Amino acid sequence: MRKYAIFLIGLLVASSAALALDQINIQFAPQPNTPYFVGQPEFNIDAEEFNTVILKIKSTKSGTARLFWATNFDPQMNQPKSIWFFVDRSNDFKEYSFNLRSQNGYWAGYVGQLLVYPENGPEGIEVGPSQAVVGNLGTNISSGWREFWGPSGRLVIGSTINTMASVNLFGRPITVYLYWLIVLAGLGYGGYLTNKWLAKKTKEPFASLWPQIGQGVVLTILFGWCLLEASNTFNLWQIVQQDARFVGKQIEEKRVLANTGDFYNFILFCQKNIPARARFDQRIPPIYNDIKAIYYLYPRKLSTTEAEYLVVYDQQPEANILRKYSPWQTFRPGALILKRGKS
Amino acid sequence: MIILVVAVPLLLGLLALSALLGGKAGEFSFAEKIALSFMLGLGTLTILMFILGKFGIFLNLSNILIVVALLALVLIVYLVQKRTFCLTVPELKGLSLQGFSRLDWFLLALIALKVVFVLSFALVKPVVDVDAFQFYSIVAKGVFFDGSFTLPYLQQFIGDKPLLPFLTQGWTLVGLGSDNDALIKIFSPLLFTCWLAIFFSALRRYYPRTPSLFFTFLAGTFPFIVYHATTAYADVPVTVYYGTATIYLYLFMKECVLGNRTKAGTLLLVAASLLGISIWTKKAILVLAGINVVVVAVFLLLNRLRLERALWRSIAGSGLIFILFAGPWLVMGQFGTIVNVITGLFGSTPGPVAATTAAAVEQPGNKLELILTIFSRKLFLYADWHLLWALVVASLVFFYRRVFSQPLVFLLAIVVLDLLSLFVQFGSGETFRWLLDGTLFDRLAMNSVPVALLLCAEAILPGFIPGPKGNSPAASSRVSRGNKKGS
Repeated sequence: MRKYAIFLIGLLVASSAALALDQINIQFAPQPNTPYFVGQPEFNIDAEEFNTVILKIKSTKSGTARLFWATNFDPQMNQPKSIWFFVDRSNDFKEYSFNLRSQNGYWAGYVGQLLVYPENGPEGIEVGPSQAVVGNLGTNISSGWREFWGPSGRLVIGSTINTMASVNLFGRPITVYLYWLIVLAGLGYGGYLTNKWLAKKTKEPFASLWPQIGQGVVLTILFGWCLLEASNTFNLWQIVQQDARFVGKQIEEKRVLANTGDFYNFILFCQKNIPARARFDQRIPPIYNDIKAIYYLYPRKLSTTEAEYLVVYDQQPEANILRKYSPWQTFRPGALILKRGKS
Repeated sequence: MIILVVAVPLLLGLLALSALLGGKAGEFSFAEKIALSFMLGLGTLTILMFILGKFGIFLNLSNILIVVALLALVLIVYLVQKRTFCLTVPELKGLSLQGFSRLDWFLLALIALKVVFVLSFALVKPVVDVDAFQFYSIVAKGVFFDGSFTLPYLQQFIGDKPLLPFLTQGWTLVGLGSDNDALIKIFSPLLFTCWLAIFFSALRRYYPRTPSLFFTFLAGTFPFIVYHATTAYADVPVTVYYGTATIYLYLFMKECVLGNRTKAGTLLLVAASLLGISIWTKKAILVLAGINVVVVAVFLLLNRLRLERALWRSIAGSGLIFILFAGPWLVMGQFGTIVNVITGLFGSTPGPVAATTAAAVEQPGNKLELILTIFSRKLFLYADWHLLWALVVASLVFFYRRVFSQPLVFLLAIVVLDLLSLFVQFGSGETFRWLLDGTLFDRLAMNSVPVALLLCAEAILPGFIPGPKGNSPAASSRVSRGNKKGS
């Protein structure tokens, strides 16, 4: 209880000190044997006041990164309390402004720690002294620009096959702004036409204005549609860049690239060693590699009861299964083929 | 070998389309006929492979080609007797892009760019999407390695799904002579291209080139369809077959209203054949095809006094064509699927309630609110459809006179009923979980997108066509007939 009280008092003191400042400095440092940088603010950041974080990043490669934070409400680093952004290649430190309060509702309470996770690995990346600041017009524009052109809603991810999120601006789908534009354009054009109609001496029925207003609204929608398509073209360009690695490769090389780690090389190893019409069982961790193995190894057929071979990839088989099989061919430690019977 | 894979359905389709259209082929544009031929040929090839497989005949290249050749021979004999073919030499000689404005060229270039993107993005990489691995492409490998899709081992992957995606991918591997799963996706981008060609041709029948091209450009922009056109999923085949079938169904109704009965009959034949093939694409289409049949039946009932006997013959012929294409699947396939779909639709056999459905949403009021929220968010706030649904709303609000008059009101009925069917499907059982976790809704909504865009085009375009002729379908039809060359 006493510790708790001291912590609260400390928090209050730190926060009041922070309130007196324009910015709170954050020092980022790489952590030994981890692929991320941890940022320690000089004071706990009052998220209500300091709504914007300006990161300074120097990188020898472009890619994506996530910024996580821990708050007094939720001290864990987790995906809901994060934003996703592109890191540009740059020789000098480049500023990345994020109005986190507008981009993510979980920027709340007091933030005690931040974390930058470069998704392509931390090699060649430096995160310099950064700040939490009270956002202004300049940082807001910069943040909105970066958010709009960010990876969210643009890069192909697993769930793209089921749904495509919109790109966001200040935490809202871009379509929301377009709907506002359409409504305002409709009202404006309607007002203009009504004004013209009122000024006429010989008036056609007022109802005849309705389709004319509709034409204005439709043109605004089509204009918005074309803007979205222009933005979408950038997404397609991202896809082209992502998939350029497949160009000019043989199908087996493409499959190696399309899978993570050494998984497809292990599949090739299994294809070489397990006869084409044999039955196999598998211990491959979900999600997806287990499904892929069934696909890739066809015409070998999966059987959970009569399998001659057991394909094991980074998953420990159960003891009763191990009693039926013995190691037969090893690809690497943790990735091997077992054969039914005792050696 | 990829040429063989594409050429066989195309050539088979050219013969089938010629037999279907008879002397009326001149009413269809060149691009439209090529697209229709490819789609009909692909469907016919699927049915042939299905029948071969069901009779236990090994599905290798030679067996498939022999049966295709036999059918082609029968069709050729029929066409020689009738002295007809859907393409003519003067037509091929007369193909030109003359009269295109700069804007037309620009729009054409944008459309072509999208087609090239879809083709290259589909074919450059192997299969990467999970449903393709665990359903469609593994069965295709079964067809390639074991010459059959009826093996008990493969049945677990097929379940009660219709077979077009499985068998067309299987045909690709058989035709290629290898299990190249980058090229296995060839048909999705080609069907996407067919959809654009048919959509353009449908509009071009009544409207000038530039607005037709503009709406075709819009048709090619839906990010979700573009992405799916590069995968080995069933969603693009189902959308394209169902969408184009509905387009021709609408054209049939439009021509009936315009008084062009002969033309209408041919369009109905095409619609019926595409709708019949669409039954082979995905289970969900059973409900949508049923909706189309009901809507056209209502249209015919309402207009019965004005329809002539010749048209009724076309209607009966279309019914037969529909049964010819859909019949093998419905009879020899999974007839029980229809019963399941219908009973599921009316909630008589609700599936298990998923774990993700919290107790709160089990209360009907909350559930309805939740469904409505997800529906509106998915249709209006996601990137899948750009601003299509806003355009639909604008069409309904501002052009209600046109939308709620014949024949467009029937297209509206199809769109609304399609969406309502989703509403009903997602209301209970297992599919409610899929609504919550976002795995299925967008893919099912995709089926209605081509139809919704046509609805918008038909509602909006007449008002934008200058001059006194522009404001009625009949008038715009006259405009187009007077301006058809060089389309």
